[in-house]
Amino acid sequence: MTAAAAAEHGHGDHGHHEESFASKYLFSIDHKMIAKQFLFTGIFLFLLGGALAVGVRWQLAWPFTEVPIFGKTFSPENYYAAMTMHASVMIFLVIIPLLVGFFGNWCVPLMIGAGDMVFPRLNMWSYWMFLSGAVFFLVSFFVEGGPSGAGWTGYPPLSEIQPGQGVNMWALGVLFTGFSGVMGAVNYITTILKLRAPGMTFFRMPLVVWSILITSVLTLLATPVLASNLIMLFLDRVAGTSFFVPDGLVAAGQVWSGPDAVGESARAGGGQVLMFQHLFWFYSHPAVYIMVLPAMGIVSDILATFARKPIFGYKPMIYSMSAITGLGFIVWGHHMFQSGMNPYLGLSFMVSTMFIALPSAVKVFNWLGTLWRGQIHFEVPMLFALSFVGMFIIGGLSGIFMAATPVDIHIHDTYFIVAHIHYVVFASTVMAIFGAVYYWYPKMFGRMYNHTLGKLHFWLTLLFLNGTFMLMHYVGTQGHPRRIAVGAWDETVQAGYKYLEDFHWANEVMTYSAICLGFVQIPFFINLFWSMWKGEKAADNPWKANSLEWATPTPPPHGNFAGPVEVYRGPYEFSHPDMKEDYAPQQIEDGTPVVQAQAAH
Amino acid sequence: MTSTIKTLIHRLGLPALLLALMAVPAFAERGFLLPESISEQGDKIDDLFWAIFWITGLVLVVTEGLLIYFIVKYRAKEGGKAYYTTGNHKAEIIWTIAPSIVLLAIAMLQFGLWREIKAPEHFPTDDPEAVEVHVLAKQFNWAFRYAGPDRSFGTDDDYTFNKLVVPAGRPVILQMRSIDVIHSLYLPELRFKQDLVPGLTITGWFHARDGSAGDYEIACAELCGASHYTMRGEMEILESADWEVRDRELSAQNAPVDYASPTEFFKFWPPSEFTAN
Repeated sequence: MTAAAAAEHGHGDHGHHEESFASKYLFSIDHKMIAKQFLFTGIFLFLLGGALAVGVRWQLAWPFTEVPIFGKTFSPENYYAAMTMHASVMIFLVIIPLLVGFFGNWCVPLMIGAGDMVFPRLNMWSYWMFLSGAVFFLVSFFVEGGPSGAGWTGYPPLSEIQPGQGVNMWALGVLFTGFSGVMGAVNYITTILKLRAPGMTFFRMPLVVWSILITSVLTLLATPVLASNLIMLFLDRVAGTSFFVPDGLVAAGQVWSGPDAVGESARAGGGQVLMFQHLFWFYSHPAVYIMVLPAMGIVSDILATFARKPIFGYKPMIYSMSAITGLGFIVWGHHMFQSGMNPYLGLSFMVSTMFIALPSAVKVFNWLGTLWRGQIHFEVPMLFALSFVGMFIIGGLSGIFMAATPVDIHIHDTYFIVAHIHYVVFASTVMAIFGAVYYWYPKMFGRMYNHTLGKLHFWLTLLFLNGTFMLMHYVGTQGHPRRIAVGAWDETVQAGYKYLEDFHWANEVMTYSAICLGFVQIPFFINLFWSMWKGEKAADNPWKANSLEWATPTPPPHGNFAGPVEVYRGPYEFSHPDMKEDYAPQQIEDGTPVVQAQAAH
Repeated sequence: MTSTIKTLIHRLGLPALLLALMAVPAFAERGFLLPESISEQGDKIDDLFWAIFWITGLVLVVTEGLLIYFIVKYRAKEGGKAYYTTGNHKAEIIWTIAPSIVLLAIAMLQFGLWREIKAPEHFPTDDPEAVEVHVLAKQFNWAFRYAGPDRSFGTDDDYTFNKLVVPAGRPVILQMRSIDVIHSLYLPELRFKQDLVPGLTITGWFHARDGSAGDYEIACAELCGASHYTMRGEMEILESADWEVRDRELSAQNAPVDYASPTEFFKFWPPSEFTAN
């Protein structure tokens, strides 16, 4: 199907009649509206996840004191629920949906010259599945026993023996977001394979599209494994099965499983505890790449546009993303070095883990190559993209410490790993998301954001994110375990560790910084909503970029393109010596030379 | 076949890189970033830590330096035009192969020490000086069982104690179990960490060095429930001769363990389930 046909299809379906509020905003099948649904839901949940994070930080700096806004002192259950839900909300309801649901939806059809996704209704269902997952998470705050406190990893037997409905709601919530992810993945893969405009060959696709394609393959292959795992956990909890319950498990003073089991929770036993971890990380390690690959695509596009240079090594960029995908499936065991699995298995996982650093390194070098001898324009999206590269280097390198099995003995399950994940997921990915929101803002809403507020937001966020996460490396190597409610020994609560007494100052600094990090998001929200109505009207192609989304009217209508689109070159033809302008949009045939830039290698 | 590979790794990987490593402690003062180490294995872990620290530190400085240099140097100028290039084959090959050599070298450096610490067949079980302790974890405390002066379990001088009391200068072999959820025994100064998994008996060992006598803390490093943060334990390291005295003393106070009428600790780990070491 050509883009024109797809556009026509879109119009024929629902373009000729007045749309009701519900069909336009709620049950929309327009990919751009669905993208906005993901965006606003994701942003709302980002506020929730952020508030929970500040609660966790408050507890670590001033254990068991009254938490402002929450209005009372955390109980240990409150603390572990806040910690669990912070991670679960951020991973399953914010980062993945924003990257894939929002950017995937927004960018893919526009960038390949399609009128919409190939399955618009499946796309709508993908959003509603995601929202159902979010509802399960939100409802769990009000059920008996509160939300899950078993950690976002939900390791049994802790997640099995936790009373109340919290873990059940958590498992269902993750399951539903998983359905949403798989629906989206099927849709992206099919759309990219079938709906590319004439001339849009695979090697003329922007790296954003490549990253979404590769991420979708990961999602499609890995998510079902997580789903099976969660279903088994759910059955263990509600149907008395013993997938992860070994013989002779004792909890709440009762024997749960095996021949001596008594009481309501009695079951056969014979399950394997470590099986859950294997299946969980078989999904959740690729999930880390699901959370970073689209960000890499976004950053590549932004860097090329504002350095006015073609991507350095376009094909190596694609190959390295593919390598990450392949290797991503054989590194999960590095989360389990200290779990009691066979130590020799740990060695093989270490080698594969070391090698997955390689494609990331290649990408960093290519980004540097893209900046080399460029003409760098410091627009707000570029600031975020540049900081992505800088922060990703830190997050990537700290991973090598934990990949080294003996070193991991000391830093495993300490704040060092917390620092590592936050440098990858917050300092890198969330910064890329901010950059992307600013970059596509003029096209998405038809108005320009406020530059000053944007720069203010960038510099303060960069400052306070480092203030929050940098010190975590330090307390981590000093042996501060993660997931403890009290760090340094505290006389009043009679808990904590004396060997951490010298480092309590760091916990306080991190908390002050985290609170500031929360507050400096205010300029972002003001900018986002104020500029939507009051911003300066945006031009069709304000950044003089090449990819097809800038060839649409602003904001793009249903069906996206005004007429048929044909593609004549790759997306990164900036500053070609034979061209008068320093850019050459993909769809313009005349005036600018057609260069097979990427054919060079 | 595998032994050939292992030999190769030993022959080729370790000597060359260990030579490079010897320069490392000159720069790295123990105590900064890492707590003081009290075991030989801990020292070796720290050496690997510092090796990775300096390698990644160098990469960090070079790449971040280039990033900042490019940002400053290639900022847009009036009338300026970017240099048109779509990549460089040679550069790609160099920056693919060079890091892979470094990464492989880092990986190979870890093999020997990891086996020494974690693989049961490398444990110093033959050492007549070795002391064996059973560790049982439950929500939210640690319990330890000792063989007593006769050094064999299942006899009248066995005793339990809520503290880990071990000799310095001798290998200590741990057998570990959990009865409810996953716990993780973390001894920061010994660089020891091992998850305790319900349904499994996991072994580990450490060797506190002579002169390390003192009181230390035991942390639980795996989320084990709402009171996880209270699961603090204590470890007392004594010089070997003092430990012998203390061991007899504790045995006299706390033995015999009545296996016929088991306390909670033994109920879940009877002598019939002891594994020979």
